[in-house]
Amino acid sequence: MSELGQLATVLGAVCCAYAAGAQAWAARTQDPRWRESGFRALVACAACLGLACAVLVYALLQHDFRIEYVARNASLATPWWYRVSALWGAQAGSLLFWSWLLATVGAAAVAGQRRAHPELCTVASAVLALLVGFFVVLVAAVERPFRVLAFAPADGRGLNPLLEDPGMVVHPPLLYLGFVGLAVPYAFAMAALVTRKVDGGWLGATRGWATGSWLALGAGLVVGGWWAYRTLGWGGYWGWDPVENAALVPWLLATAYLHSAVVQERRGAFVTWNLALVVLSFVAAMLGTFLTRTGLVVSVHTFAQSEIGPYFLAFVVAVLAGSLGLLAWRWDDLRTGPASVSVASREGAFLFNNVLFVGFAAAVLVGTLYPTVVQALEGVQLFVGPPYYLAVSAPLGLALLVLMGLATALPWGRASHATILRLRLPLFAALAAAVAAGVLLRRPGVVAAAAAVAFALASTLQAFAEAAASGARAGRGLLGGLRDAFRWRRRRYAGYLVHLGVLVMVVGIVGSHAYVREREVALRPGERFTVGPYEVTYRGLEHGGTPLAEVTRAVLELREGGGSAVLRPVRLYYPRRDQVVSRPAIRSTLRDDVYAVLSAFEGDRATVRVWVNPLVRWVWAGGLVAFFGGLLLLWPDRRAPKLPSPPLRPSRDGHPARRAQAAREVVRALGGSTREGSRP
Amino acid sequence: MKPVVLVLCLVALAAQPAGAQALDDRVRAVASRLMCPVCEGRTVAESTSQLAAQMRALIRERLARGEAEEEVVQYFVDRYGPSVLAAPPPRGSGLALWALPVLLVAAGAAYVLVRLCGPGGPEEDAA
Amino acid sequence: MDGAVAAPPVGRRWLRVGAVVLFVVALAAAFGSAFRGRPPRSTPIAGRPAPSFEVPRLDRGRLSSADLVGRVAVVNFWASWCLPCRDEAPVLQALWEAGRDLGLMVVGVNVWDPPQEARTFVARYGLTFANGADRDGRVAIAFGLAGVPETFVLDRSGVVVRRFVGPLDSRSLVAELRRLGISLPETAR
Repeated sequence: MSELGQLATVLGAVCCAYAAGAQAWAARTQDPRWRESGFRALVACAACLGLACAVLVYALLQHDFRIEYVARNASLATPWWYRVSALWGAQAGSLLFWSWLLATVGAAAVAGQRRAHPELCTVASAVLALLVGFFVVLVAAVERPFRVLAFAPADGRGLNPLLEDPGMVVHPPLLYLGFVGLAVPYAFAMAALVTRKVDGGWLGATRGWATGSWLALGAGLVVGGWWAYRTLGWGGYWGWDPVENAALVPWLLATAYLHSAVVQERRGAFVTWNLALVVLSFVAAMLGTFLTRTGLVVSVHTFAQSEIGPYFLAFVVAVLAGSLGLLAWRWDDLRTGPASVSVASREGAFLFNNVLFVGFAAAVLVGTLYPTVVQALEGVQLFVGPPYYLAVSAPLGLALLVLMGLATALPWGRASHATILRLRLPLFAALAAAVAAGVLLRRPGVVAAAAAVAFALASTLQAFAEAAASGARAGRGLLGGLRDAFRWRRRRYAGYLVHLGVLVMVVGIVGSHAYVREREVALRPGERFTVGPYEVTYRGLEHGGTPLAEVTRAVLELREGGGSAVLRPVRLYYPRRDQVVSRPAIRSTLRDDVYAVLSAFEGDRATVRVWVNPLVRWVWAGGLVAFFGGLLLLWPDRRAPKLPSPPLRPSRDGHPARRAQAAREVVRALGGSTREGSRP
Repeated sequence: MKPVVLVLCLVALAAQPAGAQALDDRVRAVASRLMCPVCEGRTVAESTSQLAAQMRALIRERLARGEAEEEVVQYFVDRYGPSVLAAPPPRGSGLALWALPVLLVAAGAAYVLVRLCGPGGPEEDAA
Repeated sequence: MDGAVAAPPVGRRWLRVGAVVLFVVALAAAFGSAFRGRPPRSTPIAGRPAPSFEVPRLDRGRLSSADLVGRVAVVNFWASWCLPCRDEAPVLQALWEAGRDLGLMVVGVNVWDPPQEARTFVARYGLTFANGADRDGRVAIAFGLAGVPETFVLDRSGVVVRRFVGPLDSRSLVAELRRLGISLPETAR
């Protein structure tokens, strides 16, 4: 079994090497046969890696403890679904899974675009094959999940108990999909630079992939926070831990890219910037993976120290240097003259959005890497933790919310009187919210947040109301108006829906940070204390056990006003792993969560920590809404009847409007959509 | 007018957290400025370890005694060194860290405003 | 794209590319050097007077820093669940037996442990030197303890001259004690 897996992996590596070579040759000779051959090799590689993954999963399901990976990550007592998820539970298996995802995504992307953009696809698949090749070689030669033990133990060590959770089943695949998905726009951007076809063909071809990976990354982040909240027992869902930040940075850059890509499609502008942004997003994703897997930065999440560090570093350096070098080489070919963009326009708002998102990403990245750099230069160990990130994210987040509200009201091109009228309602909403918050809540940060959220919310709802109203005016009813908006302008309105979800999340985030209450008390049975509006009585300890763990529960009675509930936070000790896991008990409502943890116990005395976290449910609910909106974003637009496209006409005069028109025609001819029915 | 002002003042006063609550908030504020020495990358406020619980108890005792938050933080820095701080102070090399986001965003916004912004294209439909 | 634009000299392109690559490699070098491992934690207590403390002993009575005045002292922080502490315990016991008549004081402070487990530990290794129990962690914090085991060597005036983070290196410890005037017989390792 393990030989089959190892063989499949090695075969995958060979296919990748062949694919890269064949595509490189095809790019040189423009020979369609080599192109086809290279494409088939990439598909074969994906198939081989899929086989290797299947072999590993089979071994996990069959308790084949002869294979070291299975022995370390599964046990006879592990349920089958967690055994399957053990595929991505530790370094070697997750690298294999990652490689397979990358190969599959790459092959699918190339397959989808082969007819439309053959030259681009040639170079793009060569790039993708090289990327996959690196990871496969790492798996086949260095990490080797199919390593076999000298003798098969009777039982395996089992999965890290923290990972036995539905959130942990879903979170890594989502993140990996997000990371590898970013390779597609990257590969096509590289192809555009190499073949000098930079006019947006690459962008239109990969828009769906960019959106998909943005969505997967975002979903992965939220699910990760949800898992951490329910499992780790420190009362929060985001700790600004380096590994969390490593996934946040590419997501922020991808969000910036999604917005500025729209500007490029509409106006043909900022090609260079978009190319750079795509490269940065992908490099950030690779850097993030590197940080997560090599334990370079101190973190609670680190995989065990592994040997792949130096190879991975070399890889990231090669990718970054190669991409930026290529960009620098082609710099002069990219200059199309400054586009004319008005500050008071949607393009302008999107540009400022980019500045803020990229600034945010840079701040998070610098904060994450700062300890490492200082350690290398000065030999001192420092930490950059929540105080820094909160100080950075609060003002940037506020500014982004304001921009969100502005951009929804601003038109493309240039603002006019109508815009100012449009902004009346949001401004009034902001003022009203500020006054209400100022009187009732009195905290300047919360007041500012309330005003910004109200502004953006009113602006977004107004956009939906306008769509409904125009439907009513056209005789199709309010709902008909909304349906039309989602049918003909899906991207725009799905984007507004995502914004709505984000706003709900922001409300949850501000509430849970600003108004959290916490108390830590040592108690004897029968003693009680209050936290927030709740009264907590400690009733005693319950002891139990499973085959794998000693279980101790504290029984806490929660009372507030009329209602009461019982919370049983638990402390588990796994003797075989010598690991203590503390699982919180959470009573969750829309208003707040009561979150209880058993910190320590001695006899029947217990030290208990109880938080009251307001509005946490809003974070998850908002995440769901945003996710749904994101899914809608992926749904291809309904096309309006095809108009005859004018012949390609290179613009010789410098008039910006005509140049923009020419660029639009180029984009249209290359398959990007600028049509009436699908304008973003 | 006066009764309205009075009511507003009472509402504002009522919105103040009670005394014990304020102490809890201050403990949490100090605890989130310190990294737990035995954990990998968790603040004292978040950490579930015994040392962190003991540090929180000590913070509470000192704050209740009337010490200022800065003094309590300094107490731990004196014993554990600057690596116990959850973020470097904005002095010396820490300045680069804190200044960078500000500079980057300011530079980007300035670039957008100066280089790129002009009269704009034709106005197109916005809804 | 615009009409015919004179391509810049190839030299300029190479310069640009070279600058980019150089920058990236420099950044990578800073990173790569971090693989050398983390620097030892800063120990601000070295060279300063040890904090005064008073804790109940595991057996009877109290243990305080006043007991250490005038003698060279080895203060060892331990916990029963700590594996290296189990290796160290016999070493410390041997040190105590060899050094007590030479003016050496050896004390242990138990931290982060239930008292019963601590007493079991003391009994198992037959420790006869004084062991105190730091119930609320104040002594640990005062010494800047970041884990167990840690051992502090104090001179006769109570100043911390050496701090051992992690398992004891008995050779260095003996050398340090010799520097302070305690010459242990060879058999004490």
